[in-house]
Amino acid sequence: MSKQAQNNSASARRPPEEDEICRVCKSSRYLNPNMKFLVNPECYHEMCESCADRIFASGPAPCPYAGCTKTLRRNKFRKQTFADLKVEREVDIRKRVNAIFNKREDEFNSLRDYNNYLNEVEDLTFNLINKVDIEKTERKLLSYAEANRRAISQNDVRASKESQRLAAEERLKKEQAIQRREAAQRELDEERRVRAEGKADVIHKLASGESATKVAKEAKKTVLKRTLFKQQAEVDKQARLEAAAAASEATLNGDGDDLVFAGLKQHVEAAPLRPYDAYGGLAFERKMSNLQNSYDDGALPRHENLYYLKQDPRAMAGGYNIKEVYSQVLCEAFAGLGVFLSDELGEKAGAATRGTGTAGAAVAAATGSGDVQMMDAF
Amino acid sequence: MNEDDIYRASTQYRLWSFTPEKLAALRSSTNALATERVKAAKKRVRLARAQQLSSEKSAPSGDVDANTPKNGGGTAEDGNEVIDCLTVEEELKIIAYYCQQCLSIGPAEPHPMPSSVVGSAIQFIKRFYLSNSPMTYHPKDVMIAALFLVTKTDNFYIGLDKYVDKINTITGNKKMTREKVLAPEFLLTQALRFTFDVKHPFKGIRGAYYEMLAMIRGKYALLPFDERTPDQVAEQFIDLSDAKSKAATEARLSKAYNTAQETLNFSALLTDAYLLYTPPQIYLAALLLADEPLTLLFLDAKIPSSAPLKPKLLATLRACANVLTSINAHDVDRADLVRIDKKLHLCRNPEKKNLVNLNKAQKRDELVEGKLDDNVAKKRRMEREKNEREGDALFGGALPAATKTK
Repeated sequence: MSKQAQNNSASARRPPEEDEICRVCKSSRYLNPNMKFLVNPECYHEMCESCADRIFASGPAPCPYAGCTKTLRRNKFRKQTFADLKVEREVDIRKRVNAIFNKREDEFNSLRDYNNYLNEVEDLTFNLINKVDIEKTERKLLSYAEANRRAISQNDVRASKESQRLAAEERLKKEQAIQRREAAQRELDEERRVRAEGKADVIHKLASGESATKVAKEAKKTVLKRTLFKQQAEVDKQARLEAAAAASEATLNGDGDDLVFAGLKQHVEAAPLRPYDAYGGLAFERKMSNLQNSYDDGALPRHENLYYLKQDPRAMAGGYNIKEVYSQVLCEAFAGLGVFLSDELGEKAGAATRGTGTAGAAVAAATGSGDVQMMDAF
Repeated sequence: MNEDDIYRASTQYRLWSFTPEKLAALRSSTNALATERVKAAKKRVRLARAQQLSSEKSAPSGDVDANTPKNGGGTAEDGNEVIDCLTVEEELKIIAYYCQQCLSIGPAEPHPMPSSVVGSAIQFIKRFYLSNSPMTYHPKDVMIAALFLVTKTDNFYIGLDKYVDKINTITGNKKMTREKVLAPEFLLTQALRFTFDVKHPFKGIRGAYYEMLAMIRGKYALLPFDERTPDQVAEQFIDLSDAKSKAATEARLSKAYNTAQETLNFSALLTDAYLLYTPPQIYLAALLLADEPLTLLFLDAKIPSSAPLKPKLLATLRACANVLTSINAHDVDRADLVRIDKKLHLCRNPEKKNLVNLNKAQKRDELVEGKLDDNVAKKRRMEREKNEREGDALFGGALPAATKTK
């Protein structure tokens, strides 16, 4: 942005009469009451809507302001929110920076760390706003955004959920207020009606010749009754309100998606799911044999001979895997071949379970805590 | 994790493997403890009986004598009668006899059991008597219970009624009942420390057979250390037989296999082999007894001759073979067994004789020594009724009868 343009965009509030004239086409609100002014966040030069349409209808074009070399596009033009374009620009920059640096306090171990982070971000923002080291700052910003894309998007989602939740809470409060007001109004009406009815009733009774004292007494009684009833109703209403509040609380907290955990220090990513391993990483390594796909049965006795099984389609149809048999049989053929009990058990002599006299004692030694109630073996 | 580590993870290795010395020490300490308890129990019973009789105003001195004429040793001055208890060797003989009975009952009709299942039962009995003595629990009761327990733990379930029927058919009388089978079951499972897995050599020897047959037929997949070709291995095997032919060697292999199977089905089960050696060592020792050159050739293909493991393994196999040959199907000394049985009859723990009643006593509302205390019975009944009432109240109770008439 050139110095000239900078001066233009940064010119403080223009005099009110200038406010009404487009600086590009010089048309004024006087001639065109529906005129709207638009700015482009590239250079923040304002122009009227028809100018923007006209100049940028056939694709990107340079800014019509003298000395401004920015190339603008029609779709970037928008209505300005703040009268002061400096403020408009700062808000835009802050929005952009905060979308990238959206870490929260609870992600830091201490308040000091969080404040340091905020300070760093503010430095960057300041540089961008005041055009100090723009290129370097931009590079920093982009590289950070690239490196932390995942964390940023996660925090983004969290923030949007939170705002949704707040909005829902707000809505609920408003609804409750309306209901309360309506209920109060209804009650007032009802009371008025009853009072009027009571009065009419007394007059009617007096008119029909009943004794005045009796009528007065009865009227008092009804009033008493009514107050009692009202008190009861009050209590009921209180209970209802409390129940409603509890229910609304429940609906607010009830959605599993809306759970927000406070005090989350270090966000630990769940490890990606691995394929299920039934042996928990233990791998069986055949040392003593090479498993072949098939073995001859030779002259094995019939109940051990797999030849007949292989011929039987009923056995094989269910997915019976004959290799499993070979695998197990060959494993058992050598499982323990190199285990010399007289050596290995001698080494383990210190173990408490060996050499104890009775099963009871051995079990007690083995279980240690004795949580299993054992009968004495003798 | 290799094959040996898999075996080391088994309960057979962790709880039921011993060195010969440890095994002997364990058995003698069990025997000593049992002897002590038998003596104490006998004394308690005698005192109780004497008290009972004296309270009936009988002559106390005569009755003590009258109650103990069968105890052989008579009564010493201080009331300690001399009880002739079983020694460790006698215990082992009587246990071995009942293990052998297991071997004849299990595979017999009706509902014959496979040999690995019967083998598990025998190991259960052997494991049980490592921490218990026949003087406390009679091997006959334990054998019946073990054979039934094993039908459940070894996937050969036949059901209690059928099992009782099987035992009664084989013994030819109707003495066996459901209660008798079940009474020692919990004791047994507890003494087994709730480990029911018995690693047998039966599957392993089949694996060895497959591999040896493959070696003879030149189809064997050599281990990395072996620099021979499969054909060279086959040649070495074929050279073993007199006829120098494949068929003759195969015949020799199946003969050795069948002989070894016989050893595994009898000697391996009845001796202490399972407690002292691992299953592959047992079947290889059996093969070694059946056909030594064949087995050595097989081992050559499995372990390099330069490995320090090899001489050690061979020594272990020969020791195991000695254990396997230490028993003979035909040298059962009947007279000795009868003597031991008579002795056992006299020195059994009187408090543990009736397992059925002992078992009942632990159950709710069952008899204790023939009768249940009236107060206890009443209290339990009240409690039960109260619980039922509360249960009804919880679920709203029965519907009123009036609704029916409408």
